[in-house]
Amino acid sequence: MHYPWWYVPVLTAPMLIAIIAVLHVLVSHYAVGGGLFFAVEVSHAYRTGNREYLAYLKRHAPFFILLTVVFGAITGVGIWWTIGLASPLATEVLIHTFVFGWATEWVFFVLELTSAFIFYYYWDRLPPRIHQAIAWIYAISAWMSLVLITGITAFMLHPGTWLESPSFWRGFFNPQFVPQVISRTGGAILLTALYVYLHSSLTLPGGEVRNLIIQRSTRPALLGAVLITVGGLAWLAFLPPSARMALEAAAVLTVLTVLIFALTIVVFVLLYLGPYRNPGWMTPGFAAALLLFGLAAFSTGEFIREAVRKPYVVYGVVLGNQILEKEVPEFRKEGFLQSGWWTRQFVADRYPQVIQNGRILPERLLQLSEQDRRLLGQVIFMHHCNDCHAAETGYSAVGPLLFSRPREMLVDMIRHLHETHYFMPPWSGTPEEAELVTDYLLSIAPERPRGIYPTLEQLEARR
Amino acid sequence: MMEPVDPSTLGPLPAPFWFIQFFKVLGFILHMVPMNLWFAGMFLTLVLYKREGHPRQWAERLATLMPVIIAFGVNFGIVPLLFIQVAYPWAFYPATILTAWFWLAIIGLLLVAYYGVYAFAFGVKPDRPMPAWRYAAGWVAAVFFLIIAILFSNGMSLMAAPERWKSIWLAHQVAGAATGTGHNFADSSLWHRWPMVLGMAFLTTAAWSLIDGMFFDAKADASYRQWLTKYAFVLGIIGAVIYVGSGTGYVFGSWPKEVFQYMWSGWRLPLTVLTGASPALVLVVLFLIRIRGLSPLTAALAGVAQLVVITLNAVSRQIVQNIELAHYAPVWKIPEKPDWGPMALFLGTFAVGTVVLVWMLQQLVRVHRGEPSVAES
Repeated sequence: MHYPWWYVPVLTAPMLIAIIAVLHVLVSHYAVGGGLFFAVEVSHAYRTGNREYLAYLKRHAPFFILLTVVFGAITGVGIWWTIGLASPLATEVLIHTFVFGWATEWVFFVLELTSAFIFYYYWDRLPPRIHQAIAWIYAISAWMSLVLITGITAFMLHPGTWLESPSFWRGFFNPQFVPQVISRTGGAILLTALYVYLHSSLTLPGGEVRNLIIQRSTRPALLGAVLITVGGLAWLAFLPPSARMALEAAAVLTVLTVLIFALTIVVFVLLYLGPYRNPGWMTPGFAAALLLFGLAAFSTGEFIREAVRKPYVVYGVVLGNQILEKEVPEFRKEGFLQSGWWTRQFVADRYPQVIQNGRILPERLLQLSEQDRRLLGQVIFMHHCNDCHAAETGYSAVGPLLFSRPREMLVDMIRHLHETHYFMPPWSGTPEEAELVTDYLLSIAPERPRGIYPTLEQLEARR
Repeated sequence: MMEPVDPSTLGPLPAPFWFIQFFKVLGFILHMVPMNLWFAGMFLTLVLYKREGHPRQWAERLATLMPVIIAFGVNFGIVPLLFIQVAYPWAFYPATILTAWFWLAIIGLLLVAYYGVYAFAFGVKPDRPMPAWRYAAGWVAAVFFLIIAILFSNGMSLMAAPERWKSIWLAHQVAGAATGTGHNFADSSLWHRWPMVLGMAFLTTAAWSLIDGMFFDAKADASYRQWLTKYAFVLGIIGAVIYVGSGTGYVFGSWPKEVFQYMWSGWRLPLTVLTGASPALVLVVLFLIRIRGLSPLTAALAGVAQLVVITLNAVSRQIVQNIELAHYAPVWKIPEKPDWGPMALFLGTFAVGTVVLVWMLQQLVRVHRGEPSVAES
């Protein structure tokens, strides 16, 4: 372990990333799609001289700014904050590889911010052509930041040829780049339409402008849904084999994959039946339902995107437990506790008797008392397993998975982690350390629930 | 105490170290200007908003600009933080993980504070009183900004003190895993650096007030500008006293011996003295303005003088940070493997972005001057 591990009870630290990331994407896609919406619609309103439509767009702008510039921007920083806390090694790898991608994205952020504020605060003061130009600067900058960040996040799922020959460009233009740019662009367009429906249905009681908005937003929304589907299918096609298998093997991911397609179909059908065929249906309730379905589809998609990478954080490079894949043999040889600075210090502080010449002697670990063995087993659990598993209760808690397993089975399972479940990282410790983890796991394993299938002895007794 | 890190075992830097330092310092300077304005400015705005006449006028002006100031302050903060993580990941991540909940709290506090600022700013109407909840939201924001600065200093000061990590970690861990409830509040350098920034924030607010009143505020008349000269001078004195007082404590009370020796010798000596004495430059300009009155030249001089203060501070801080961490990993010995292509992409985008930015600002200037824009003429 290169870095200390942050223990977040019940939830696990990486789940904080997922929570903040989901909240962020629900707004950041609107920030991108909204840029295109304003650029196209303001141009249309100026061209047709539709003052009422312009007035509506002006009313929509503060809603957009308050949501995207405040919540979107701060949660964006929040993701960065959280990945550094919960996944520091992966963040270090990403930053070293893509520092100039992020720096370039920052330039687009500056342009986004400046143009957004000028667009809003100088409405009615700038000549129409300049106002439109500013809107397009925002739209292009926002889309460019989507493209840049997608290159980096897509890399985490499938670095492609970067693994053989690491370079910025190989990493950036990875197999997942184009599919994800297509689906995210579609998502941005669709989600924006859904936000616009909700805002307009709440702020406009009816009339021509509302019909115009509904009419003009529906085709882009349908286009967005098509792009999501095309990008999503390409995403599936270009998944690394392990990620594709994870979708089939992990029941929760199978359910979520079905759910996301179902939600997309529901949104598509509602769009067609509602705003496209029956604009009169667009009441606040209908618009809110549409937006909720859209947000649910997005959240599901983001969760799947994060989950299918297992056992990696950066595919083929950084494992979920913050170890470089290439370090695993060394960890197995030297010992997990010995190989990490923080774990080694912990042992040195508590159990100096197991150390000789600065090295932890595995055989001495087994000579410790039962209580101490459990504690060291917990230390290994925290650093090796807690990134995906809570202990006794909480997210993917390991305790309930272990009930009544015999010790030998547990030890064997730990020593062959990635062979029993390929989406688990390989065991990265010595056989003695596997015994310590087993000691700990057995101490937190609950009793067999009452009423569940009986043991063989009980079945025999019943005969 | 943490064991020294062999620099050759660290991942190669994707750019020459001077390049990383340059953009880290540049980004820090860019960040400091708006950050200073919300740090001291929000508090001052709330106090002066309750008064009448020019103080109220000043408060209303800054309040309406505050949402934009915060947006740019947050945005500019990305650059130094990005390059910190490139240069010192081995120091940055442990320090922030050990203090994780405090570090993460910055995001939550900032989100609430930012909405608080909007609530306050949208309530500023010259012809009607502000609802109490909006004013209260402004206070929440101002207090949160002060807390955010402490929490930020908490993480950053711990980053520069790896010798503290082990004791903090062992006191806040479960089976060796950090609970994230550790803190560095006992470190005296934190309590010197935080007021130092506050002092700088008063100075920046003083300089900004003069520049805004001279160049940008269309409602600023002679009487208001006259008031500004007095007000900025008072702010400048308060800022300089806080800055010099806490800075003296920081240098003489909390610098480790090797840092002290390094910064008080060779070519660093004039830099250290200038960094500490630079607020005097601002005070001299503010004093001149107080006597001779505000003009475009003197307003610009006040801005330049304060930029010198911030720049000297940023450069000195960078050098001190390198020396503080040199014990554990001499940053200048970390191998470099510059990624020229992406670096060119960034620099090219930076150049084009600057042109676009200037064009946009040019349009604003034309609006303010009532001229037709380039595209229209």
